[in-house]
Amino acid sequence: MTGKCRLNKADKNRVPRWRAGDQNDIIWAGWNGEYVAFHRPSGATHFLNLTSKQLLEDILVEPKDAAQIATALSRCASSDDEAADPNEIQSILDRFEELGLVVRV
Amino acid sequence: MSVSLPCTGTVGDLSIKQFEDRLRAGIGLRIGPFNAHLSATPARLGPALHLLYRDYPLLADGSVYSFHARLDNCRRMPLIGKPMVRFSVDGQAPHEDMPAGQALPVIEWGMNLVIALRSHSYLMLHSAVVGLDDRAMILPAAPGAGKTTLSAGLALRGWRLLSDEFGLIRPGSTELVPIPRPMALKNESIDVIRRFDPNGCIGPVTPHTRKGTVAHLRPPDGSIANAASNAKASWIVFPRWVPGAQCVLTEVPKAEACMLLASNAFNYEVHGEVGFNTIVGLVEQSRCLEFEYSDLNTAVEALTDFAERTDD
Repeated sequence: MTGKCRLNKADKNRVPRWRAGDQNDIIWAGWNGEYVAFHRPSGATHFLNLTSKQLLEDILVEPKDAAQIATALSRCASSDDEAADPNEIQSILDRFEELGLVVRV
Repeated sequence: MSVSLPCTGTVGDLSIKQFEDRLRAGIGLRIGPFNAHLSATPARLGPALHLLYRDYPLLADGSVYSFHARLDNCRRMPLIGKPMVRFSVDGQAPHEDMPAGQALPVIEWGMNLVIALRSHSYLMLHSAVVGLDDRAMILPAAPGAGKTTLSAGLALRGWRLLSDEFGLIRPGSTELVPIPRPMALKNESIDVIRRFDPNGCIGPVTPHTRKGTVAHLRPPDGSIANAASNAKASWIVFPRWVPGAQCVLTEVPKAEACMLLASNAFNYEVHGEVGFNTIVGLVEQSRCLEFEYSDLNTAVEALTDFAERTDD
């Protein structure tokens, strides 16, 4: 061993999980299921739908992986059907991570 | 912020000669919320500014000014170079010298530049604003979308002109602050407005500018006299001039209107969270619509009829 960091087998098999940032980081304003959100850390303003709001305010308060997120969304009576698609969820999470709205844990 | 001594009449109270003499030495004008100090040496500029700024209040000597703008004659090469003019503000020239024949649009655009770069105590929308009673219609639009022509038409039909270029809002407020200025009509719009209202006062026509042919319409009576009265945001109308189109007003979802307005604001990022809350407040308080039109007469009638039927 030379001091290099080596992944062990458990890390390699670990399923990625995400968590929303601090709830105080976002100011919301919404009308009829469409929202604008001001993200305080970045100063950016985003146009988001109801599913996104549910993810950031409720579902991802605790860390979840993509499968858990899909399950949670399917339980939301008013969720957007498109967001239940795992590929779509992954795409949203990747984008939210880019924007700093969620963090990988 | 500026503090002014009492105004001492208007530009129109001076003869052209008196105004030219004072313009060469420097003259103070109240333009909306700004105390502007203007000085200019180019010939023929005095009569044009005297015409367009006829109703603007003169400031007393000793006023504290928001900015000092100058337009001076110069040449690329002494004695033999092409006559040019140099715009400067507070001793700094923000852009290259321009042909002397374009003196009037240069000083007008120069003042727009000063306002856009300096007025960060306001949230600034790139929009025209017109008023009906104490209510304001905000017309946000990219350059070339026809907002000046449309706002000129409305102002010539009884609406108050608050601005054809800047929607100024105190952060946290939902009131529009007037800054009525001569309206820069471009190319075909000049004749459109001449036909629309032959009694409208249009200043000299300047060809071959970077925006084509330009002429300025003096703000109609009442717009300057009421420049101290804010108007509460009531309508946000995104205009789209489409050749041959019928007038169509379509509701814009408020979240979408927020994003459009935020992207339209010159200095939205400067204001951060307060800017966001201000935009949300404006949208919450207003009807938000897209307006497609082609004929100016029909457009003015349609918007006026709509506004008069709209409750607060």
